[in-house]
Amino acid sequence: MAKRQTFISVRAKMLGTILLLLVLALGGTFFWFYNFVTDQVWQLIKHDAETTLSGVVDGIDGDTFEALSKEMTLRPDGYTDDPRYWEHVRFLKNAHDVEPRAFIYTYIKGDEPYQVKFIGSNGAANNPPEGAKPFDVYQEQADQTLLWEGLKQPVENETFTGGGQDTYGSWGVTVCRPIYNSKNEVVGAAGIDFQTDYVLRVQRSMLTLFYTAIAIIFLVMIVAVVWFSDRLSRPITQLTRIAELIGEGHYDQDLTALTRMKVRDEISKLAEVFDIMIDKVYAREQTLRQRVEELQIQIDESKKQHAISEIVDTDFFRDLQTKAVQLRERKRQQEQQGGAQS
Amino acid sequence: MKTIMVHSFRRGTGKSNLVANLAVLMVQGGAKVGVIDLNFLTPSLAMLFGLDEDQIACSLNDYLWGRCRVTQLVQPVLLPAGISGKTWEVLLASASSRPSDVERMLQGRYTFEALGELLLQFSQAYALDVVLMDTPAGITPDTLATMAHAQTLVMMLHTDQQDYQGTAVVVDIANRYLNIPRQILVLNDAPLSLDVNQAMDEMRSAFNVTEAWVLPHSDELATLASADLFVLKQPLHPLTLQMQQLAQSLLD
Repeated sequence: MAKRQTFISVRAKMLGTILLLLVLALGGTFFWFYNFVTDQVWQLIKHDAETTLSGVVDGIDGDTFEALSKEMTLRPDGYTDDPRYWEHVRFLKNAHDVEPRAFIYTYIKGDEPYQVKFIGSNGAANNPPEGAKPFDVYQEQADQTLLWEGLKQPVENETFTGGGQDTYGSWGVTVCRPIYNSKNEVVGAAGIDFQTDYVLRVQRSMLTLFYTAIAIIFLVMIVAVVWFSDRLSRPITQLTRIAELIGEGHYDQDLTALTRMKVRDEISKLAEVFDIMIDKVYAREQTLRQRVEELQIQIDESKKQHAISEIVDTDFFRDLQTKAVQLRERKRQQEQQGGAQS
Repeated sequence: MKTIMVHSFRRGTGKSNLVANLAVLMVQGGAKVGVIDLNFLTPSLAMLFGLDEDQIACSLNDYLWGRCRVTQLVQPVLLPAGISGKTWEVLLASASSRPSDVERMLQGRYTFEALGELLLQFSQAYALDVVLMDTPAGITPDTLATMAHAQTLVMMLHTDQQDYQGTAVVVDIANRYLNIPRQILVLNDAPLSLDVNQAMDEMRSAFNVTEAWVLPHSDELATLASADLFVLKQPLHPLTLQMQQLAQSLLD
């Protein structure tokens, strides 16, 4: 039994192949670009955060900070009337105003291991004040110490996507750096959080851009492929139809539209060969048609006469002939009588 | 009554087949048709019409020897009903195929008078419109006697030079010496590559006749191998349609 064959048009094949290649190429490019841009943004943010933090730490007088953290008394609302505190937070707010992505705070070592206590935050200078209040406690996990480490040396977190999350919000980048007094002792640390939203926004806008670009490119490619494959397959379809007609014996097919294209290609060449083939097939069929046999009858007259003589020149035949003549004459008369009677 | 003799110079030109099929077509056309199988050596019409040897109580041999009357001789052959549902009947007078009868027939032939008597009685008893006579090939006293009675001679031939020569002799005798009013030449089983019009012209001119027919070779007829009647088996076959035209022409 013949195997059932699947028909897939040239157009569908082209469309499938080109779109597959496009998906692979664009997907690959996007993957690389996404990673590259993300990495660049991460580096840029880290650099900005560190630059800002460096400026902030340089601007804080270690001795004053030490005195404030030790001498400050709190009001019932959790804030203080100590003018040094308000000067400190205003300074942090000024830095935040210069770099609005950065949320800046200072802290000291807490009473427990991996515990820190906040001193100032740029939000406290807002009206009403927000963010961490003086001596708010922040407890880190033993295996996830960041602010705690910042009390010893400059640190930065490596979390990018999703960022860190705590009671104060989600953070993409966090950098910390110790504050030293005039005796070069660590008296606390300053930290900066860059919000996750910003980084995510960058990623999201990249994805949106990518999807839009992909959609537009796909649309354009589909239209282009359909148009091109139509241009490519139309002559083939025409040739197929013509071949069918020729199979049915209609040889008067016009292929000039296919053979006289402005730009010649394999198809116009095929059409040309096809055109020549039609003429040849037609000519061959005509020759075959003309090759019908003719009947040729040759009769040897002398032989014939001899054979006839042998038959007719006998008494039997002469007798028969007479009887036949009489019979026919009788029949003729009968018919005449019959004709006359009717 | 029209007396039609179907004859050929050589054997195997398809006489019996044509006679049987023409008879069917003529009956279907409404004619009362009698068929006489004068082929005493190899009678085949009974078999073509589906009759067994045992079914023939009185053969043509018996009749000629005065053993039975014409009404006992003639076998009505009922044909299968066609689309119209009407049944047809061909009246057959067949020679005997019994070996002893065949042998005896070799010794004494039928005469002009005996055949004349048979034709007269047959036509009177059954009010025939037409009688078709199937004869053995060649030129014998029997066939000459039959020719003397025939009003139409249908001479069959194949594409064969020896056949042409013999056919020419028969046609000339029929025409010039026995004055058969109508002679029709039928080139049977003609090659499909033959130019039909040219062939008919050539036949008319070579044999000096006015009517010539070409019946082309048919695989279907060859496959049937005389086991059945072609025109009944293949009612819409081009060959059937051609035979129909020939039958009509013979009745005209």
